[in-house]
Amino acid sequence: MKWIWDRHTRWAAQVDPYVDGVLSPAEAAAFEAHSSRCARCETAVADTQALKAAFAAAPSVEAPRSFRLTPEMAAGRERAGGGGRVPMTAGRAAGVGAAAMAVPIRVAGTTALAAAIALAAVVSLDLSRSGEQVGTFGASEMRTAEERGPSVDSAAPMAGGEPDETLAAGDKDNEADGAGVAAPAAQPVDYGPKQDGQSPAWLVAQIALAIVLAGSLGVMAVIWTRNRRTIA
Amino acid sequence: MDGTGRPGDEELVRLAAAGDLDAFNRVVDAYQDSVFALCVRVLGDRHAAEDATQETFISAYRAIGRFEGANLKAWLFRIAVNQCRDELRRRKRKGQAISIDTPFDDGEESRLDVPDAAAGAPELVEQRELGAALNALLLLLPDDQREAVVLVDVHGYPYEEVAAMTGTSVGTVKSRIFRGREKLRALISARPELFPGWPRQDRQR
Repeated sequence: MKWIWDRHTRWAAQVDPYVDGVLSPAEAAAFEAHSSRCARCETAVADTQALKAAFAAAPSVEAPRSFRLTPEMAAGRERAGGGGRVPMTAGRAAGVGAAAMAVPIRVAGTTALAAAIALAAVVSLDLSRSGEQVGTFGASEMRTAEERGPSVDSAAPMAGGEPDETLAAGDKDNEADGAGVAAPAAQPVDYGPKQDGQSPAWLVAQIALAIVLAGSLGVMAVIWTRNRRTIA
Repeated sequence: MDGTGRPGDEELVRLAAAGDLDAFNRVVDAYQDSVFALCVRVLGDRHAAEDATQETFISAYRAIGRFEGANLKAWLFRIAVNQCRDELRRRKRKGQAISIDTPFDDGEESRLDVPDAAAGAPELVEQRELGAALNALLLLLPDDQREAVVLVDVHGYPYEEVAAMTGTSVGTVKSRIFRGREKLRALISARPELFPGWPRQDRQR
């Protein structure tokens, strides 16, 4: 039964090309032979011819006013909303509106991406630091800590303990270093929670960071999908 | 229908490209009816169609130096198709849809018809009603199908030229015509009372 339906679909697809006269003579003859035996195709042909005839017979439309260009229009003075672009290809024209729409979304996406990367950096730094033998820190470690400054600042309170004091100590060390004083001897700095890297507070902080990171990624994915849908 | 350009177009294009606005405005005079007719059927709104028509000619004037080929009208139609698409896209973004109840805004559809002097013969009146009903039905089609049906059935362009105008392939035009007309045929047989001039009724009676 299916092959009959398939065959009919094939013929039905020929109705419009036949009526529009774009079939080759051989194809047209084959179609005529079929439609003379097929009521559905015959009706479809008659309807299509009537449709075309009705469109052709429809009264012609006249322009309601003159669209002659004034010298101002020709000079290309900025028009509200329109812009002076010439849509030469469908593809280019299609891109324009969507692109304008996409810009704020893209900014939001980029911001989310930046936030996610920053969080990832914090997490990996924290992880790598926790792997070290904690207790003594040289000047180089201090410098790293300073470079991380703001990120650590925001992440540290989550880690509990006394992060502000430890950071302040680190900064002082670096100042001394920058002033040309010989690098201070390794100085024990109490990184509080870091000393027992496996403490529950530290784990909670890492998990919280991971959740925030995943959240940002999720937001980014949503924004990106919406962006795609807007363009489509 | 419009396989070749109008005699004299070539000269007007040459002059317009050199900056002769009067020459270009003679092009506008010659084609504004067709361009407006295309826009109003694709957009279903006279005000939007006026804007699209004006924009088409402004864009065409700026680009006339790049026009190559024989068929000026087809080139203008290509620009008009893009203007209409821009408008439809703007509308979609604003969440406006075109409605069959107000196909040619606020009861102005009489302005689409031939002048009253031509009304008289009953078959002409019937044709006009059928034409108006078909215009309303066109607005029920998806944009791309309506565009293809208008270009092929109202303006009589062959598939190849429609493909060039709409920036797509002949196969795509064929399928848009097929799906668009199929929908129109179905709509007409669903509401035959709206189409007094439809021949199928006579046949079925």
